[in-house]
Amino acid sequence: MKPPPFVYCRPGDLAEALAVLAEHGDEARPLAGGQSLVPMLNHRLARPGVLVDIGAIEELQRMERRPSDWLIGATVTQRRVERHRVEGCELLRLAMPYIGHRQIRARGTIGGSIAHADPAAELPAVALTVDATMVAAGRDGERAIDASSFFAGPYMNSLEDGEVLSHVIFPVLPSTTRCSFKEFARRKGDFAVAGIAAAVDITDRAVSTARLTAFAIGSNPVRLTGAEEALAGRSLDAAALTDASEAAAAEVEPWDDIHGSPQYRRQLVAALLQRALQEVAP
Amino acid sequence: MGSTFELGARPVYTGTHVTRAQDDSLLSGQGTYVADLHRDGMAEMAVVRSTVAHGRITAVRTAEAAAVDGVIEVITAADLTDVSPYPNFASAYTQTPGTFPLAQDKVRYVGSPVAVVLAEDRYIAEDAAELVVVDYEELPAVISLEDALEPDSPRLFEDWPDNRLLDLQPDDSEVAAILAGSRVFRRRYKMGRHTAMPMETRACMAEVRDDRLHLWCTNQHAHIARTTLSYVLPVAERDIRVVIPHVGGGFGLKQHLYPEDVLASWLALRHRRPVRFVEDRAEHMIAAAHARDHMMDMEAAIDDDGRILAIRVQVVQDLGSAEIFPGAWCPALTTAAHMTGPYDIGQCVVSVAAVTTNKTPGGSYRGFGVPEAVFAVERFIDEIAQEVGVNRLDLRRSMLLQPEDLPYTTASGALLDSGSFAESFEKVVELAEPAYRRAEAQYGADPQSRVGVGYAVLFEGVSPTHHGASAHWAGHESCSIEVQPDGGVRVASGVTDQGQGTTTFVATLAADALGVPIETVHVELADSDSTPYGLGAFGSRQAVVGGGALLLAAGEVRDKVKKIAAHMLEATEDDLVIEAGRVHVAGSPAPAVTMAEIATTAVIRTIDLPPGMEPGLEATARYEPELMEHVPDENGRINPNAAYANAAHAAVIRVDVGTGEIEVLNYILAHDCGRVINPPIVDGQIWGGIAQGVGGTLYEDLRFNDLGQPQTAFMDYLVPSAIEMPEVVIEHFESPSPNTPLGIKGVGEGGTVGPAAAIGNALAHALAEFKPQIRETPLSPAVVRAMIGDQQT
Repeated sequence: MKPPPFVYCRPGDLAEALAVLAEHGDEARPLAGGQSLVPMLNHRLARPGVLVDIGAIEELQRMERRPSDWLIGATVTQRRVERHRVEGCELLRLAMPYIGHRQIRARGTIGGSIAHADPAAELPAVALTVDATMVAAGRDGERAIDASSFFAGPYMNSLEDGEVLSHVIFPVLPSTTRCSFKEFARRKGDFAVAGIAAAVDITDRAVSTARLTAFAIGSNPVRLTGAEEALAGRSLDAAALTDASEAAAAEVEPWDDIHGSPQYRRQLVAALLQRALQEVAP
Repeated sequence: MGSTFELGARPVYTGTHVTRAQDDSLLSGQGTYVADLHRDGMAEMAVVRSTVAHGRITAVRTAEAAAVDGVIEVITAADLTDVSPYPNFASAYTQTPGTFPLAQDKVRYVGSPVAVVLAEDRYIAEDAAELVVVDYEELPAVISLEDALEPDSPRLFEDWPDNRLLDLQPDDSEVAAILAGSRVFRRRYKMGRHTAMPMETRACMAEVRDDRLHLWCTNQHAHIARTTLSYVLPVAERDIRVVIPHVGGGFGLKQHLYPEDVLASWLALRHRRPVRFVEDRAEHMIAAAHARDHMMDMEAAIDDDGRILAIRVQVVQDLGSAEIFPGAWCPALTTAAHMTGPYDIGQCVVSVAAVTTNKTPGGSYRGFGVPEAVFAVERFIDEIAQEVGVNRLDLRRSMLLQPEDLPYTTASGALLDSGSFAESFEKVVELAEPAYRRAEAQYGADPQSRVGVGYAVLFEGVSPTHHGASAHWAGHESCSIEVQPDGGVRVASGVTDQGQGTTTFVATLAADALGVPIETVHVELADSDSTPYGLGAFGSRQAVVGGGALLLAAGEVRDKVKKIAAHMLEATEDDLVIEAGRVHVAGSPAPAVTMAEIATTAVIRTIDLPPGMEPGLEATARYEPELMEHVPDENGRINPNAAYANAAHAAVIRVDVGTGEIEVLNYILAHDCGRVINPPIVDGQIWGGIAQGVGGTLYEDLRFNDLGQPQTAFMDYLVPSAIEMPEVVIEHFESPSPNTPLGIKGVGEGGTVGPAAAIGNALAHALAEFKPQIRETPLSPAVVRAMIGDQQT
């Protein structure tokens, strides 16, 4: 568990980082908090020739409340967001304690987790649920990528060679939106076996919009459109919860691993969605 | 014997909270582990391991790796021409897997060492190890225990008739006759595969100094390791020194001399430079011994009240490839010896098979066959109670050994000379039933929760003979005590310390037995050059046999101290007492002579010794428990342990019926390890044992796919953390053994052996409405959720 040899550099600004990344093409990998990449290096699952540590770049550490959203720089640590409480981004706040352990969140970054696109990770699910925007910086400038098209498979994103995720824009949700984040992991802090992120807008006791995401069940987080439709216009009573849970269990196509079969994950999705909806019900 | 095992007249440390000797250094990062050892010119090893579960090696290409800058040598089995396979001392009744440090013709598990890269550092060694190419002709792999039993199953060892390394079929005619005339209840139980996950992985560093091989390693026995090295390497035993520095947990897994220990030694001798191997966690998952993986087929003749009249069991243990631990099958024998539980079941016959499969070799792990037996017996009793319609507690009460039954010899020959079987059980019931009712009150209204309570009562053989596993060593321990001229005491013992407090109990007993302040005692362990030959750490033995040897040696020293003091004080020895490092006449503290004055007389001013007395103030003693048997009698009966501890466990659990997750709310345990030397250390042992028991029951699972590829990386090997640990209540009973020094029994494994049974029974209770079949561990959320089915949600 020793990494193969690599060149390490720690540029002081984004332009320099982009220049190094451009120079080395797919030989180079940005390093943020290192909570995923370093273990992968040690297991020799990733073998970049050049590691570009973006931790010293100040412009990637911005965290700003703007009129209708939060702009969070790629290397803002998860712990910083957790402590900040990010008013208006309830779902993000609820998800933070589920990310690893506190020590991991102290090093792990918002952008690192999203770019890493681990199927079991919390932040991609939040981003997908609230329609966050990923902003990629390249030598030709910035490019905005919708959450729905950012995640391109397990551990794959749609950044191009030479691009780096510079920040993420999380929209502030209306005050009528109620959020819940439910995750089942074998131990506290473990990777999820299944999880649900929910942001449900309720007006006049009825669901106007339901945004429901399941994660840790397949390549990337998925929106539960069937369940969302099942709730549309309804009050969150027992029958609606059951219909949504059944729809969710039917629409997901979970994968199989040591912690659970597809059948078990369907049951988890149903149970967790049920609990999430109970929580958001007025 | 009697008096020879006495503590001094006024023991002040034994039974009290003596702070653990190494806490300051270990907890402040000042410990010295193998990974902390550095030597000028030290090279490091990386092992090239098999990537296939079963295959014939057709070529090992090392040239490219050998050419890497910084690589010293790349070796394969063909280079080890002067290495001997480990001798099989049990060949009369077992097959021989022919344990050798590198795979010779075949590989039999993923992780099997095939080649070694020796390089200037571990980074280079790993870079080069990637370049070693091994060609295999793959063979069909035998993965499950059931497959291994099939007559037409592929064989791991082609010269064996089948995959059975051990196959003991005792005469069962008496039990068969009872079964034939009775109501019979049958169940099959299985315990999954898990193992120890010590914070420190395996490690060793070999160096040649003054033409002798010095091996610094994490092994649990300095002397057995030394002797074993002399069997396999062309080095005389006198030219080998084994030293065990600080160790970050052993748990049985570090009992074995591993291939890497031999390889590092061989390379150090060959290159005359220090060679270190520090196992990484990925290697640990596949190349450190695995454990458990037992199947138990139980048949009982029962009466109308469910009482067991006779029991017949077939135990099958999956050994993996059996290429690490020569006595890998011994846990199955231990399981067999615990199949009656602490119950008055006069008739019990157990057949034992141990089979080889293409998985990581089995080894020893805390509990060593007992958790398997307790799980099977205690689940079996709950299932009988349910079947017959009697209360599970009353069924236990009707069979449990009562004080008047003791001493009691079990059907397998174990001599239960003392214990608190019924009393500890009643204590646990008294504490657990209210805890269960509290849980019911808290969660009863929650449709997503079910709560339950489960019990397990057990005895556990401790301080076993080593002969069961090695067919070679027996059961003794040894100790040397020397009082130095300033009155300070040096105690050297064959026991070893993996962090559990061995050093502390040695110092405690020595201080009390000699009547000196504990600060004046220096303890030396685990260096084969400076300690007498002992068998080290296994089977919860060290306080019993290590304590016995120490007390014998201390008794000799104490007698001489009194003789010298009597001469100096012109008093009669029998009137003297030793306390706080001073000797005086009982009842009159002055005049007194100090230990320093006595020792100075004994060692330096020998002209002042009583006429004719030999100089020196030291003794070496060895202790082998008299009633411990090493070889079974003609009926297969044996009393293989010096003592038997007992305990009752109870678990109160909550099951989340939506996710299948089990939360252990309360764990209540009443244990009896005879006389307690250090209460917090005993509690710590139990706590840690419960954590490992809970881990094996709910979380830890070493899985393989159909090709024999390991499926459990460390990330998925779920050792419980503090958050997963329940609230634990420990109750103490002390039933001293009349047959051990001071009545001490062992406690090292006591917490580990009960959780599978207690939690399994609690789960059956909690989910009674779903009629679950709880016959295997681990009880993962997915497994539990499947028991609930779709009847709920």
